[in-house]
Amino acid sequence: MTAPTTEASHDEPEIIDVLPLAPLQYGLLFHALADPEALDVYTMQSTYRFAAPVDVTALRTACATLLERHPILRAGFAHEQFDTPVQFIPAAVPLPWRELDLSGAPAAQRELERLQVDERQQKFEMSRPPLIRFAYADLGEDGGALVVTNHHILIDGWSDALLVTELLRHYRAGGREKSLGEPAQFRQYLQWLQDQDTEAARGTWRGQLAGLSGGTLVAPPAAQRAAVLPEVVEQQLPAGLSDELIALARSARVSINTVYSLAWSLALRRLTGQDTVVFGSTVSGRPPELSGVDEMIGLFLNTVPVVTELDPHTQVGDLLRQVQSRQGESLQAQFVGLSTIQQDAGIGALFDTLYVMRNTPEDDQELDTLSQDTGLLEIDGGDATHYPLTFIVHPDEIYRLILAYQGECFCADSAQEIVDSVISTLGALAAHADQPLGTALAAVNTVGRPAILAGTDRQLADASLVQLLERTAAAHPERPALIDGPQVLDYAGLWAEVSSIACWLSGQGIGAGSKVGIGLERSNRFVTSIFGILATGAAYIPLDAAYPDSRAAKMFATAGADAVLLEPGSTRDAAQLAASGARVLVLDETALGHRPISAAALNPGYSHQDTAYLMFTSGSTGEPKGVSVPHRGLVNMLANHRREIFDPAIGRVGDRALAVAHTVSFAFDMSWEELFWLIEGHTVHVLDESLRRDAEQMVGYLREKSVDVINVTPSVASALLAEGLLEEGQHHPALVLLGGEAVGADVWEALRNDPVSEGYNLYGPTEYTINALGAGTDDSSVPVVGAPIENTSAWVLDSALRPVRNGTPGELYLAGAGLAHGYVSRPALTASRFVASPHGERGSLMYRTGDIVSLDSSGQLHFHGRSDSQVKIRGYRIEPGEVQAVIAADPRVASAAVLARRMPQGNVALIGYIVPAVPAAENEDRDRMTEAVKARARRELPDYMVPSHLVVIEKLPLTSNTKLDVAALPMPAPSSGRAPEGIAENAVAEVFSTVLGVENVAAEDDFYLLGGDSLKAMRAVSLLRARFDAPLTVGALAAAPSVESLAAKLSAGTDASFDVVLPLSGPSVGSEAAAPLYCFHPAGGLGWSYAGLAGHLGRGREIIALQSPRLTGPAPRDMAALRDAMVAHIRARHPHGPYHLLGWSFGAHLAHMVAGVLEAEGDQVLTLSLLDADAVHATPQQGTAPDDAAGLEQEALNFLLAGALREIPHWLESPYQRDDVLEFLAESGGVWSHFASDKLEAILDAYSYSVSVLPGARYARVEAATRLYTATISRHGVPASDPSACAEGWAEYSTRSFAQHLVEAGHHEMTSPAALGVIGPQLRADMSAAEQDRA
Amino acid sequence: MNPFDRTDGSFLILVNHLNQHSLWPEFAQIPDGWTQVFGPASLEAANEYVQTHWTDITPRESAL
Repeated sequence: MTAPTTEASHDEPEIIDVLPLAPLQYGLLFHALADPEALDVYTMQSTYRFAAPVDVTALRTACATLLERHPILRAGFAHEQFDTPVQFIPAAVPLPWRELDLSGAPAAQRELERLQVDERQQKFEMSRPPLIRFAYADLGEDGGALVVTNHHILIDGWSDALLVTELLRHYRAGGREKSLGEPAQFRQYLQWLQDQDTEAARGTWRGQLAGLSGGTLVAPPAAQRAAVLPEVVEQQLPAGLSDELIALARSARVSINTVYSLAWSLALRRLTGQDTVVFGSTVSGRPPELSGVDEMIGLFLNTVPVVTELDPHTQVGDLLRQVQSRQGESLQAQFVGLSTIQQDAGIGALFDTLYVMRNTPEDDQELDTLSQDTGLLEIDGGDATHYPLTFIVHPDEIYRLILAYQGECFCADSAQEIVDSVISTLGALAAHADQPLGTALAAVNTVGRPAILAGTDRQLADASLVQLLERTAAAHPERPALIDGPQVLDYAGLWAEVSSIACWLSGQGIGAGSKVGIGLERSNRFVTSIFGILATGAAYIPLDAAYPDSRAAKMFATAGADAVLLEPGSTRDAAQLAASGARVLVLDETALGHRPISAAALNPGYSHQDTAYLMFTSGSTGEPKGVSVPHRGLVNMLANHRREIFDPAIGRVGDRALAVAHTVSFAFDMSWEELFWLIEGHTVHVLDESLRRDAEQMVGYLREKSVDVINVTPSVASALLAEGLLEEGQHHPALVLLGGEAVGADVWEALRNDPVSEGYNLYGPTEYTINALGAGTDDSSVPVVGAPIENTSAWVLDSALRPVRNGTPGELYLAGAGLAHGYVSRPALTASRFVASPHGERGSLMYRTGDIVSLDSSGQLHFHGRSDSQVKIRGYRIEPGEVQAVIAADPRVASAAVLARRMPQGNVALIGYIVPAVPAAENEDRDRMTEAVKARARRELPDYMVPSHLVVIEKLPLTSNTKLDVAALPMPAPSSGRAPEGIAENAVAEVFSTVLGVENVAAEDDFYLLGGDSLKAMRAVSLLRARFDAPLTVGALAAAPSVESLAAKLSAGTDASFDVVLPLSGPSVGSEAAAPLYCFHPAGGLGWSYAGLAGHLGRGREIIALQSPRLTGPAPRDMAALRDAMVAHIRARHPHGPYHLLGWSFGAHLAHMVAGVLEAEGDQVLTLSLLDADAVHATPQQGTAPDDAAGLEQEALNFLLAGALREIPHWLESPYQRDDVLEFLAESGGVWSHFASDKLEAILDAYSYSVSVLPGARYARVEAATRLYTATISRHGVPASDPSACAEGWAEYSTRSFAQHLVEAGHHEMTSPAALGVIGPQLRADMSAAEQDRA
Repeated sequence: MNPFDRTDGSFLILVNHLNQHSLWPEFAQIPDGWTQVFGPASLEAANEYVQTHWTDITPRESAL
C-alpha cells in the first residue's frame, strides 16, 4: 500500500497553510539556527520495540497516516524572507522512512543503538520539512524496532503521548484507523494566541521581574558551551518524607509543585549565594478555554521564569503561599515567549536551570490494551534541554527526584550533592512549616567545606605602641626617624618631642579617656602629636587637610572631643572648632620644651582596650560615622606585620634600616602602616600634600631617596606605575603595600612580575583596625584579599548566617583582636554591625563587612564587591578589574579605571576612564586614541567585557583618602557615536536600523543594547546574509553585536566569491597598466574557472571575472538590461578603455553585446574572445532554450551534473529530482562537493535565469579583433557544434578581424587546464598583437 | 540582602558579659554567651531599644 503523502511532487510542494509560531517554537528555532554546526539537543527520539511478527507495511502506513492527519508534523520553518519567522504546511510530504535489516546481525542491539545515534545526530534543516523521520530495524526473531526522530519544535511531550496511542491504533487497524475523528488542529491554538492581550501579559512579567539586578546562572554563558546530551542522577525520596511533603502542602494550602519548586529555589540560593533566584519552569501551555486542546498535537509547552524571594525571616508556610500566589499571578501570562519576557526584563539571561514537575501518570489502560494488541514491548525515549541543570520531580507512590546535568558544567559528585541537599532541604521544610525559613535552613545538612578561615592564635605582648617606640628610640638614638623635606628628626629627638607633647597635654588636663583632635599640616609634628596624645592615654581624632571646619566641628561634637591641636597661625577657624565643645590648643614652642619622661610614667594605667583613635568614615546616610578603635588591634597588627611582612622585606634588602615613604592622609587609618615601620626603627619620609598627590613627582622622590617601602591605594599604585615606578634601570621599592580598595589585576601583575618589588594587599575595614586579611602578590596569580592575619577569623555567611560552601559568594564577617569598639554615639548602628557571633568564642562579636567574597580551594579569599552592587552587564558577571587591567596595559594609556555605572537610559554599562600616555590636544586625536584602545581591548576581551564607553580624562580623581573618587568621574557624553563608514558598516547599520526601528545607528552601537533580541537577531542575520554572501549565523551576531565589530567580521570573513565583480588577478604595481581582461560568466553564473588564464597571460595583467547578479540577488529583467549592468560594473572599475573581453558559452553572448556598447560609447575593445557559443539569431529556433520551468530546471540540473565532471550513477535518472542531484553532488567528491546546498541552489537559479534571458541576445557589429574557440568533442550530454556553421554565425558581426580556433575538448571543459593550455597562449598572442597595433 | 538589614524582619536584642548589645534576627539560634533582653520586635523597635538602653558603647563588665 502506498501512503498518499508520497504522491506529491517534491519540487513544487503545494503550501496549504502559513502560520505564526508558538512562543517556544521561536526559542527552539533560534537554538536550531544559532549554531548550525552544533548538535541540536532539541531532537526528540522514541524507539518502539515490537515483538515478532511485525507487519512493516502496516507500520509504515500508520506513520504516513500520522503525517497526513496532523499538518503540524509536516511543518517547515522559514525566517529569511519574513519579518518574523513563519511555519508553512505543505499539502503533503514524502514519508521519510528507511529500513535496516538487522535480522542476522551478530550484535543487533549495538547496531540498533548506532541507528538511534545516527538518526539523532543527523540535523534537521528547519526549512525542509518534514522535521520528523522514521527508521525501522528488522530484528528477526526479536521482532523489530521503530525509531521515530523529530525536532521538538513540532510537538511537546503531551502530544508525543497522544501520538503513541494514535500510531498504535492505526497500526492495529492495518495502517489507518478509520474510526478516529477529524483531529483538532494546532492552528486553532495559534489563532487563540493571536487573540490574547499580549501587552497585559508582558506587563505581568515585567512586574514579576522588576527589581531583579540579574538572572540566576549556575554556569558560564551558554555561548561558550558545546551542546551535549545531559547526564542524570536520580534518587527516590525516603518514603516518609514523600508523604510528609504532601502533608506540608496540604497544611500550607499550596500545591505539591510549590513545595518542590521552593526546594529548587533554595538549591539555587545555595549554589549562587543569591537571595532572589530565578529558574525556568515548563508549563503545558494548553489554555483550558480552548475546546479540544487536550487532544491537540503541537508544541504548546512554554518555559517561563519563576522568581522566588528567599527571606530567611519569612515563615516557611507564608513563603510557600507567596511562591504559589506569585506563580498564580502569571498563569494568564504563560503564553508569552521567553525571549519577549527576557527582553522586557532587560537584564540578560534570566536563568540557566529548568524545573520540571512531570505529569501524574495517567490511566494507562488504553496503552496497555494497545500494547497487547500490537505486540508493543516497550517505548524508550528521552529528550534533553540545553540548560546546565534540569531538576525533574517525578510524582509516583513515592516521589523521585531527577537531576539532568551537563557534564561540562557539573560532575557526578556535585550533581549528587545538589540532589542530596534538595532532599535535606525538603526535610527541613517539612519539619519547620511554622517557623522562619532561616530556622529551617539551620537544619539542612551542610555539605561541602564551609567557607571559614582562622589565622594563627597568639598571645599579645603587654607593651603598648608608645612603649615600643620608646625602646626603639633608646636603641638607635641617632638613626633618622622622620624626614619631612629638609627637616630631619632622629630617634632621640623623636622621643623627646613625643614625650614633651605628652607632658604639655597632661598639663592641659588631657589624659586617659580624653579625645584630642589633630588639625595640623602634614609634617613630622603630626606624627609626634599622634604619639604624644597616645602617650597620655588619650585617643586622637585626625583631620584631613581637605576637611572643612564645619565638618571637623561636627565630628568633634559627635565624638565629644576634649581638645583640638592647631599650629600657630593655623588657617583653621578656631572659633568654629571650639563651638563643638573642644578646647583649641595651639601647639607652639612651649609644648616642646618639656624634659623627656618614660612612657610608663606618662600613662601608668595603659590597657590594650583603651581607645587609640576615632576615625571618621563616610556613612551611607551622609553623616560621617566615627569608629572607635582600641590599641589592641594595632598591637596585634604590628606583631603580625613583623613576622609576615617586615622581616621578609628587611631580609630581601640586606638587614638594614629601610626608607619608608608616608604618602597617606593621617585621616585614613591606612596611615598606621608607616607608623609601624617607625616603631620598628626605620626611617619614615613624610611627603607633603603636593608631593603625595603628584605621581610624577612622587616617583622622582622615591628614586632620589631610594625609598624601600611605599604604602598606597591601588589607585595611586596604578598612577605610580604609569609614571614609571617599575621602569627598568631605575630604583624599585622592595615593598609596595596596598590597601583601602580592591586591587586591580594590572597593579597586581605588575608587582608580581617585577624582580625587585613585592606587592602586599592589606584588606580590612576601619571597623577591624585596618588589616584583617592579607596576601602577597606571590601568593596568587590573580588579585586576592588573602587569608586572616593572626588572632583573626573570617567567615563567609549567607543571609541565614550559615557558612556558604567553598567557592560560593557570600558576605564576609570578621572576628578577633582587630574588632573596633563600634561607632561613637551610634549605639543602634553599632549593635547592627557588630553582632553576636554564632561561630566564635562564647559571648564574642563579629563585624559584618558588607563585602562579598568567596573562598577558593587554596584558602585565599577573593573580593567580589559590595553586597549592594553586583556588576552585571547583559547578564554576564564582570570583574571590572580585569577589564581595567587590559585597558591599562595599552601603551597609549597611562592609567585607567573601569566601572559599571547605571546610564540615564536605565541600563548598566561598563565605562572606561583613561588617562592618555601622551596628552591629546585635539578631539580628533582623542577619538582616534579611544578607537585604538577599544580595538585592542576587543582583541583581548570577550565582547561583553569591552567598555561601551571610553572617556578620556586628564587624571583619575581621588578622594582625600586617595581612593578613586567615583562621584567625580564624569558620565560619558550621550552617544553621538561614530557614523558608520564603508560599505559593510553602512549595510550593517542600515539593517540594525530596519530591524530595530532605531534611527541613526552609530558604528559603536550594540545590537542588543539597542533592544535586539533573538528573534530580531534572526531577521537581521537573514537581511545581512542577503547582502553579504557570508555564512553569517545568529551566533556570529551575538559574538560581534556592534555595527563595527559585525562589519569587520563580515568584511574579513565575507565570501566575495559570489560577487558580480570578482578580481582574479591584479595589475602589477609600478609598471604601466596593460588593458584589463574582463571575463563573462557562463550560464551557471560563476567566473572562477577563468582564474586558470592568469598563468598564461603573464604578470601584470588585470583579470576580472564578471559573475551573474542572480547568484546573490535579483537579476536584470532581460539580456539588454544585464548587458547594461555589466557595462556599469566595468565603467566603475575602469571608466575608459581599451579593454579585452572574453566569454564562454552564455558569457560569449554577453561579452559580444558588451563590446558593442563600449565601442558605441567611443571606447576601444582590443580583443573579443568567444569560447564555444553559437550566435543567437533574431528568429530563435535554437531548441536549446526550453521555455517551461520544468524543462529549465532539468537543464540546470543537467548543467550541474555535467559540470561536476563525474560519471552520473545509474540511480540518477532523467527527469532529475533537485534534491537527488544535490545529494549526489555533495557526495560525489566532484567540483561541486564543497558547495553548501544554498550555493548550489543559487547556481541553479543563475543557470535558469541565464538560459531564460539568452534568446533575447542581439549583437552589434564590432571592430574588436574577434576569435571564436570551438569545442570539437561531444561530451557530458552536449554535442559538438559544427565549426564552420558556428564561425559563420559570428563572423557577420565582426567588421575588422574574425578568426576561429578549434579546441579538442567538450563544451563544459573549455576552461579545464588542458583547454586553457591551448586557449591561453593564443589569447596572449592576440592581446599583445592588438596592443602593438594600437601603439 | 543581609538579614540585619531586612526592615520587615523580626529581631531580638542580645547582651553579652561586657554589656555589648547586638541586634539579632529571630530566626537564628541565639549564640552561646548572649542573653535576649528585648524582642521579638520590628527592626525599628529594636534599634530604638538599643539607642535608649546602651548609651556607652565602650565594653565593660556588667551585672549580667
